[in-house]
Amino acid sequence: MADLKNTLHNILQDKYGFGDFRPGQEAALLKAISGQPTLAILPTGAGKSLLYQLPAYLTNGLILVVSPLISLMQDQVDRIRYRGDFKVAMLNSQLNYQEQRAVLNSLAQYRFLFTSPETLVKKNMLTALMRQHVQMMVIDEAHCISQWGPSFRPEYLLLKNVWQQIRPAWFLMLTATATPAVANDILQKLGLNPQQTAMVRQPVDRSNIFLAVQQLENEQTKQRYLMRMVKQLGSSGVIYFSSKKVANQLARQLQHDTGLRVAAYHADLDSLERFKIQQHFMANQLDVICATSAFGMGINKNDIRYVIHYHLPGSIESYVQEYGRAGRDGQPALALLLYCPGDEYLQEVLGQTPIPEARVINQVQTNELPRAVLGEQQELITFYLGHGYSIPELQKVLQQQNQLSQQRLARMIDYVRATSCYREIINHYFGHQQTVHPANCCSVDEPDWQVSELGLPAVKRTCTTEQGGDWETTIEQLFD
Amino acid sequence: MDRYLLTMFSQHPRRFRVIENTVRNKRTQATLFWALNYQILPWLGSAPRMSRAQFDSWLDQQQRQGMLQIKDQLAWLTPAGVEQKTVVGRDYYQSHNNQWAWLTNYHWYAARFLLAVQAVSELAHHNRHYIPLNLSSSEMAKVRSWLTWPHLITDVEQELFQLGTQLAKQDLRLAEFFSHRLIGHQQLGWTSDEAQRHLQLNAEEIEILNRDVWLGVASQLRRQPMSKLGQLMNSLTVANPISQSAMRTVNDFQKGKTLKQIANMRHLKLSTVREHLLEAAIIIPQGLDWNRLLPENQEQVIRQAQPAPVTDWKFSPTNDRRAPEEFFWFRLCQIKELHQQNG
Repeated sequence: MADLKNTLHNILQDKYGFGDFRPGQEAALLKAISGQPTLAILPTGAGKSLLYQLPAYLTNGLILVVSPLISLMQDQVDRIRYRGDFKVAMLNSQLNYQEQRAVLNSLAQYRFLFTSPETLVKKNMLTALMRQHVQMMVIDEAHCISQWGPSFRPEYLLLKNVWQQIRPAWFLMLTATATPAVANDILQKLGLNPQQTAMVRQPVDRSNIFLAVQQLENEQTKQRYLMRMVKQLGSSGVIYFSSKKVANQLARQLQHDTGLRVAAYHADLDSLERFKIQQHFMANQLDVICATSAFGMGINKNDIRYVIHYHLPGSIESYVQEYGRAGRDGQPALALLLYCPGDEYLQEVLGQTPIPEARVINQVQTNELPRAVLGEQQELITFYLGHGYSIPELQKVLQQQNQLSQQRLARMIDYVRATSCYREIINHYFGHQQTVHPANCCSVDEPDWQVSELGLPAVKRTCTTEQGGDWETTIEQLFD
Repeated sequence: MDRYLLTMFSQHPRRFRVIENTVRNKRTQATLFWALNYQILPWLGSAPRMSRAQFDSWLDQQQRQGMLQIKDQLAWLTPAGVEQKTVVGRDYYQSHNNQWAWLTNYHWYAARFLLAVQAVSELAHHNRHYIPLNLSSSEMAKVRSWLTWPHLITDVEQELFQLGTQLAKQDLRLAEFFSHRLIGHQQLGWTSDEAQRHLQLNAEEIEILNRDVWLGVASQLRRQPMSKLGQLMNSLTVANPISQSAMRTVNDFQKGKTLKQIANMRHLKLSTVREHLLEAAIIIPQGLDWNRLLPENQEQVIRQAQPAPVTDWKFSPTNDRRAPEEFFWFRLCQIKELHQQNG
């Protein structure tokens, strides 16, 4: 064990230039590499991706990473490519059939393969993987296995079979937000024995983030408050919205009213535009991003100073996950949630799956229903039907999902209306009884808080004035 | 491209599905014919990603804003709509390269081009640590193998200047947008918002300008197949504005084969062969021998029976069994007439 510890430290120093692991990293690595299935629950910014990037220096086998979002895969793929040490491939719905086949046929060339659960459970994928030496399997954002609601991805339930068929030497599950109940559910759904599985858990609390909630009368006052706050906060912030339309509209207004460089980011933008916006933001050439949840899971910008939620998140898990993008450098940061009466209705609508009647489910079963009628829900129904669920069982599952979404939203609303410390509420929610209160804790403890008193470090804005040069100079600069 | 869409309507009722299918590149003989009639063929495939729901919601919005009147499957401009159309025609950015719409899928074209320039720029700065524009692994592999060619850096730089010069001759804004959209060493290029600010154009104009730039670049590189960029990019362009299969039909026809012979030779239905020739008659009329295609006696019979204008012509078969053939001639006659009218 001492040898392995030394080896890990040497790689950390040589390849990443760090003298020490962050809390939880070393323990998770040691457990996973010694062959014990490991669930690591580490807060955002704790360096979870290192847990599967570093082992690549210890093996010649393939490291298979299952990830729920393309943006998340993309970010990891970019970072591994940027380091230039290993060849990496990505397999997901963005690739057409030929492209997927080309990757599968040349799998032996790659050291990392990122894929979605939907792609992983396909037969040709499994067959190709069985032919490879898969040393490590990683399930990133493992809480998705246990998540319910309209965004639930049933293929996560099949990962158990994949793991059992591939039997990699190292098996690692990663998440930032899992209550004890969710952690147990993850193990159960993956068919793991809790006694034989290592669990490495660090508190989700990030003491450098000031937690604030601002209640406002109505939409107009909320918008005015947002303008005022962003003006004071300045550069390097993310504002989350539940609606693309509102994100677009307020990005334009913020740009106009605050003089900051603001862009909207959501799934309607094409991939080139998303790439540019993301890179501009990383390089501090954009000050504020108005985003939907499409943004963030893959963003690893250390100096985001504030995350504002304009709309109410659907659960405390999502909220912690999203505000956790702030202050990854350990410096003071702000998480601000804006709320006005009625905000919960939007989330109620987004979080509920209509329960189709038996007649409609029958039509799905017999392929008689045009896809446009139920949209994405049809896939969910087809999945359950295909896995032996009867119609009443399926309806019950959907009902349970809705109830759970409602319960989670209710906890989120409790948080907004709370009169006790927000940090304690979050810690209790995730099963941590002890809360250390930092000097700047939350807006319950400090109702008269001011931006100027939070000690947020200024973010150096990178100038982009040279981008307005004539076309000849711009081309010259590419090569000089 | 909301406001540009409005310019495809007129005061006279038009079939709005034809306009939708034209911009979405749904090429049926009927769509192409009516697009020719409405003189909107240059917009073919200008919004391939637009869904029916998006088009319908746009239509609904225009009706609510008093720009369009809609009845059944037809829509026409209100006086406010006519005024808006005039404004767009007068004040908005107007495309220079619409005629190349068929040449390439400009989204894919731009993506490969941008990755190539990014990689060469980083190569010129001896930098291996950068985040490449993310394309599929096969696209990346194409660019990667192209990167090993000799003299790439100097040649690509020179070729970019040539492309910029040609674009600037058309419109300086094309060259500016082109150069500032490029990604390279420590250069991220304009986002769409930045382009709007610098060029003082709105989002819709930038969308059209973007398409115009890449169609312009593609058309130039087609003419320089031996250039470094041409050799990388030309596999994303097509040789003809009609499908490969339709082009084979045209070639066979021009070699003297009859429609039946072509159908037999290529195991096609006769109706497919006719569709191919109608598509060609609409899009590349100069590529066909019209004397053989539309026998003079047939044309005379049709013209004598029909009133002017051409859009009011009504097809009525003289012989039910020969109706498909008669319709083919009827449609050809209409197409010929429209080409003559449009000059």
